[in-house]
Amino acid sequence: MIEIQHLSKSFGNLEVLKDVSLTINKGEVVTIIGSSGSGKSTLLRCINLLEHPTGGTILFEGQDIVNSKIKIEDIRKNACMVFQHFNLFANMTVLENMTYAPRVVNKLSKVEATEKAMKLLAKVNLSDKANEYPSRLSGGQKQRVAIARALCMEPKVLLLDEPTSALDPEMVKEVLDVIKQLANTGITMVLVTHEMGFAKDVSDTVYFMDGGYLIESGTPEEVFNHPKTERARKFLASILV
Amino acid sequence: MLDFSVLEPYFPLLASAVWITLKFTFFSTIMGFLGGFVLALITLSKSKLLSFLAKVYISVFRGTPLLVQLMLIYFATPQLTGYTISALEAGVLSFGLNSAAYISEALRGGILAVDKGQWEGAMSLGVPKHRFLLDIILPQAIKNALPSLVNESIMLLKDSSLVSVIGVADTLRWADLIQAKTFRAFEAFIVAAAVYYVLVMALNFLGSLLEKKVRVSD
Repeated sequence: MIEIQHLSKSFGNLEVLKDVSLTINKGEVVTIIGSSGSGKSTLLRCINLLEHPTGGTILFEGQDIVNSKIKIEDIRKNACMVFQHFNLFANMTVLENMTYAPRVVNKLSKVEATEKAMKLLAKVNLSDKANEYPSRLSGGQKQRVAIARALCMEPKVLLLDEPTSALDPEMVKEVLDVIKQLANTGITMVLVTHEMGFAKDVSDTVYFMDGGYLIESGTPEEVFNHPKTERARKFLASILV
Repeated sequence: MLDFSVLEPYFPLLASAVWITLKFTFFSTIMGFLGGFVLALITLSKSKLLSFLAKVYISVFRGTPLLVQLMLIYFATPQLTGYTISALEAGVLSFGLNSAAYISEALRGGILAVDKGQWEGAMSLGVPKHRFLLDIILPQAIKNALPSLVNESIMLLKDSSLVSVIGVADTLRWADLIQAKTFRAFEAFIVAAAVYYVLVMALNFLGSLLEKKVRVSD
């Protein structure tokens, strides 16, 4: 569904992505791991063009989204992102956060959008928070709302950028549980994470990045238990899996 | 001795004078806000030329006295265009243009203070920029800038007294006329001062109500 070919991205003189190629199939749960600064998040952000690649192509369902004239909004609505810092709209309630984009972008009526939002809110166990403002929620609750908000758009792929990195330890599990539930529904998902145990558990494919290069890929079993590169072996040895 | 009773016959006139002061403040605030919002967006836009022009505009209107701008617009417009501009038009125009410069700076600060994540959150869902600027960024920017915005409308209210110079029958002009007729300078001007003070306090009160309202999301 998504084919990334020879992707590169530089910020000024700093080259953060170097010749990255990978394919994401429909329904696949993909995890990208690697140390901080290895380019994981940038790669993810390139998929919905929050960063514009400097070279290479990304084919989204066969369409080149990097060098084409497709409206950027039409790409992003199909590849919604969940952020490390939630990025819920501070001036809107939980329900408004969830119905806003479906109404503005997908032209849903208020009733339709609300109905869909309430269903998803129930799935993340936050029905009682519909009319609260984000400032009243805990980190874990915010992230669950953010995930539900992205799902309201019915994106073709869900991008999650370190969704648990900013959470207090006791809130990590509630968010991971939601993501795990999602992974089992057949949704296409790309996840950047430092939660190795979780990555091992939910992924179909794991990619390991280092210094802007994609240096290792395979099933969780292959990457975690039989890494081919020295760099990956070192990285995995230095963390608890 | 002080004798406020001499002012009594002139109180109906005072009412219409206060009304004029309020009208001035109202229209120039509206104009200042609209202009200020547009200017703020332009200064933050990617177009170097537009942003440069906006910065020149802001620098000129902040760098010259309001009274000079008022007189320039009132007296020079007929000379340059042949159009006889009314004192009310000249007043609203110069105050509006002037406050737009100040308000744009306050709003620009307010917009810059909105967390970058709010932009990215909206972008990542495919919301077009013109929509999320209005629905997400602007409301938060106004909230951030509210104290300066309230301050700006208080300044406008007080500065509206400058229009008395071009002969508009506002509150200050009323006091000036009364003291000429009755030779009671203190009584006339102290009443004008009191009127301004009460109006400013009322604005202040409205401002604090507004502040409470926008803080519900905190």
